[in-house]
Amino acid sequence: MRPTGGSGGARRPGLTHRLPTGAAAYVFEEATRRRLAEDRIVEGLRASGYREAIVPSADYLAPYLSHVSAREERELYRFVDRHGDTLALRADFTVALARHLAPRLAPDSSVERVFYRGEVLRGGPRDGASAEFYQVGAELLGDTSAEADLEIVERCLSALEAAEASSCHVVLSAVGALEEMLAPEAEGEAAETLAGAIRERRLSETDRAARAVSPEFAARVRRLLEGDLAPADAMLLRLGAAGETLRRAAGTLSDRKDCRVAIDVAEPASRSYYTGFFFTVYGSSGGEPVAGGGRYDDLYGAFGIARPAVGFALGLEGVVGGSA
Amino acid sequence: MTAPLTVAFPKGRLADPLGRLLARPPLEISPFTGRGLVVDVAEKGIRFLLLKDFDVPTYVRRGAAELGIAGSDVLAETECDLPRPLEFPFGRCRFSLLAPASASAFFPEGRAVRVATKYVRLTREHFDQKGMAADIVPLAGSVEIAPRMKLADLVADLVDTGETMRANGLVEVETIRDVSPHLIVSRAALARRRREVFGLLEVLEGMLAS
Repeated sequence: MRPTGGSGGARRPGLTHRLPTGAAAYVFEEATRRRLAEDRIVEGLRASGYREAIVPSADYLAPYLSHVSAREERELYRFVDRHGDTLALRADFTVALARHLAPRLAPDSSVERVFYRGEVLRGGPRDGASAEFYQVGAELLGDTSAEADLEIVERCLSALEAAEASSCHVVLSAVGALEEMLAPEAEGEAAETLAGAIRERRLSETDRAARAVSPEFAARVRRLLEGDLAPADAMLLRLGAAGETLRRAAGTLSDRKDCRVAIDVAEPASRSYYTGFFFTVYGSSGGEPVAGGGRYDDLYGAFGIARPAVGFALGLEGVVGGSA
Repeated sequence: MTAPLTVAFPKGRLADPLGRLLARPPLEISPFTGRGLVVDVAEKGIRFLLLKDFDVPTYVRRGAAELGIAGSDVLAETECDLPRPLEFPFGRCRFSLLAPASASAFFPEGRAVRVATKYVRLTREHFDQKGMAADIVPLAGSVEIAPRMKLADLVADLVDTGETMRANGLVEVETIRDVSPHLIVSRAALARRRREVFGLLEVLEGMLAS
């Protein structure tokens, strides 16, 4: 009779109860708590007009490579299938959704609201760290307005509330905003160097460099470095649509209970495909963000149908696990 | 009452110069002499966690400490990409390849060079960049004796004054990178406790400038 536990377990008995590095299993109350939180989030998204999309958990690697950073590429779990093709396990919903949704979109400018849920797998550089995450997220396609950006941030915070996150700290930013705000005093290579030092929050180094230009520029650089710009700050006017989103989002979200908002353009983008406004949400404890999102207007075009898009994703581990 | 700002403090080679810095005004924090690994300085609103050097980035990255102090060697080895607002002007040294002074050739012919080190990732990266095969021997400490015990041909480790290196019959073959201590800060802490973090940064900047 064949032993229980599958043939792998029979050959290597030590593996019967072991989990692969970074994998996780949830049973009974833990599983119930996660599913209930997920159900509440999904119910809210459906009620707001978002329709579900289900994408494969493994896909050909090649279409994804131009949309991930070198670090994200290293984190992919990849394997060769029986036909000799290289596949990767899903590490991010946004690119997968663009690849599978773009061919199904009508070539007009209709607005679509989509949500997704499921596991993503990323093998990070740190031995033993979690590699499997359960994400719920939503995307709004075909709308470039600040209202669309705001809707996504609001949906994200409502989802966190539905998951009973206790409080959140929202950081609002935009791709390229820091460099634009340093102009015209610092441009090109000088702007890149100064922006790098601001992102590292180096007080005296940035102050020295900026004072060499003018005391007014030094004051601006200091505001950028401290990363809590007022919605009325004149520097936001330089950013066009992204600045409008930052201003309105900061104003709207500041009225939310248990939510603190900062406009910090020195916050780095968590995804390489973001093209404009993006945001990061931290919980009441822990070092990693519990949710985030942003605008990626070029991604769908790479898969055949140009369509502006903005979306968010949250990880259930960070929310139900208690860091929010 | 506000929770103290928590600083991950390295117990290793940086502890003494950092202790001397913290003892200066306006912080005037007494040296950490007891056996306790959590030191509260209530009047300054700061808590120090006394940690192994390599654990500092983990505490800060995972949010158990708002700030931390670590060498650029540790930050690079642990791929820590957190902001580094301050570089300290002491504790600088080199991460280098060391070989027995008596060796007729530093790199063996016909096989991969064996290198003993605490810094597996940095050493691997160095030899990958050179296009040289290397067999990395991971050790937690006392790496200098590895060549004498025929465990490795070379050692990749920090060199400060060079005393330990010379005492173990080694010479410096190549500097891989310069190393300096940095303050690191959690992005989550910047979001949650922005004013307090910048307040402490200003104090530390002032102490370094005085």
